[in-house]
Amino acid sequence: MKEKKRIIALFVAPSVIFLLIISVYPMLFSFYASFVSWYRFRPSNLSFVGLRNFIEVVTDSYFPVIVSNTLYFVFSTVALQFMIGLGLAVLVNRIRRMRTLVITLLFVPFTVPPIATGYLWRSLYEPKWGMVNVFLGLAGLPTPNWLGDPSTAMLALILAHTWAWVPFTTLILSAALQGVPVSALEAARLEGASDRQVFWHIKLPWLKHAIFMTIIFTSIWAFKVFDLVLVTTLGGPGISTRVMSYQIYRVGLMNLHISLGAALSQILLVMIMGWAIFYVRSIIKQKRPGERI
Amino acid sequence: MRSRRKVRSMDIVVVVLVALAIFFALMPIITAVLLSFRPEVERSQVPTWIRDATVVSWKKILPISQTVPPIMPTLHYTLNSLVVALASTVIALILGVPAAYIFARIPFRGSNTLLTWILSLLLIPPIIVILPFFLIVGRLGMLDTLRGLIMVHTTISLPLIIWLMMLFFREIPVEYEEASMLDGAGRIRIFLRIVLPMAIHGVVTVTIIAYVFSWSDLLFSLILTNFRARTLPMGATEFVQMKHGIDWGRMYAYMVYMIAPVLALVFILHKYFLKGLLMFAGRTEVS
Repeated sequence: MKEKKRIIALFVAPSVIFLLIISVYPMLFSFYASFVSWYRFRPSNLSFVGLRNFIEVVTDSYFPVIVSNTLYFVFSTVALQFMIGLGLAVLVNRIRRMRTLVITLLFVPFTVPPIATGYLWRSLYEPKWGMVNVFLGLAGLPTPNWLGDPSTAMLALILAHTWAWVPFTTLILSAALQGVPVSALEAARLEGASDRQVFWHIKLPWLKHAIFMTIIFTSIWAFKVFDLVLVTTLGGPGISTRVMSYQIYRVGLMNLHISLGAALSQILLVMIMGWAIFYVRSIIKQKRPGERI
Repeated sequence: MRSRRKVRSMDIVVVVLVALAIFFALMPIITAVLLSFRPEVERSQVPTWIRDATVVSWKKILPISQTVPPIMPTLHYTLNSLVVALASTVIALILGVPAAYIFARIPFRGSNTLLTWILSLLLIPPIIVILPFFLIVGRLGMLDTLRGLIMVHTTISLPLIIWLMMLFFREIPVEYEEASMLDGAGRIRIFLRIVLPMAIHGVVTVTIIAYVFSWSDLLFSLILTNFRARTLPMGATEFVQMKHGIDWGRMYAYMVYMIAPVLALVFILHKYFLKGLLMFAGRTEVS
């Protein structure tokens, strides 16, 4: 028993201590800052103001737009990534030759830094010579000013973000699909199940856990989106693409309304936690093969 | 029974759709490579690019051509990015992998609470903690230093590594460990000699993910560095954003330059990487 405790301490303590020191303070700071009045770097004379920062932030006329932008962005990108990712995973698993190469090529966008995604898509969306409009023009379709028009800017960002993160979903789901037990498939075939039945009744239930994981992760990344907005639209035109994380940057870091930025941060955190905490719970409750030792 | 012809036509549909997906995945990058050799991107018609290809954009961004010793910005940023990404990844691996092993194998009092807390750190958007990080790093006198950036990047990648490696260790059968325990081997020895070699695919996978995240980070570099510790993504803003707008040729060259090393890493290690991801996705054996 003594040895076991020593090992636990030796293996776990360094990480925990490191994370405690470096990550608890920022969270406490952000929490504290949201309840005092703090403008610019003047930490003296910080008086407790209760919920005033929250009220000021929430009653701002931009706030509902920003929240709905954020939710719209998250739900659209997550839905698109799920549908495209699952479709591609199914397709990839039907390929027999060069599957590894195909998966690796499909994975490429994941390795592109968000700032590069932003700049590359900004060039693709250029109204006069960008590839998107060149192709649309060849097909005889309308060629909008994607990032410059409030009605298309959000859609343009959603597509760029989806491009960057679909590989994650594809990869995880195709990996999980490969793990479907062959015996179950054979049994179903012997019973005369059609391809469609096999997909809906065997493969999809088997994928449940992987799907859950990809949806949670893609939504967290969508909530966090920042670099992409910074190098493409800066939240514009108007406030049509301004999302929570970019608003926090503007309010807290550019205008140095630190308390207001912190209050916005708390709201974003509650949005994310409310969405994801049940996933964290379910991961921990899963059975552990190693519990015997 | 389906006819053979029907199967064939299905296969063709699959191949066409996959080829289309690959085209969409690579198109922005291929465009960038091609257009980085164009003079004045805006005025050019796409199909004529071969005739007047030029390396003028590349000359401006490549370290070799920036010859004045004190200011070779690209080389400076590249080295900074490399050091920060390597150091933060290695530190996070050393701290995180053993912890993940314990979380996967040996439950102890409070381990679930600790784990919940560590996983919830993954959910925090960096934008929320950037200002307190700025204050901490400033208090420690590490603003605009590589040490400061390494510390912050480690904080970001450590929870991810713990979480992914924990999932991975759970998929490894315990029998080998039990057998060596019966042989009287100590736990540290078992971990180093038996568990780690079996987990090598997972380690490679999380290494790539942590490295990519550090290499890509713009936000922390934006707030915590000035010039001395500036990394590649931050450097992009000064090469790309000119007074009159974006210099597209340089932008393409710079982005290709920034993406290339990571792509090379993924292609070199892709076999490990794909196997590692198979296990993360809940497959029970490594084939």
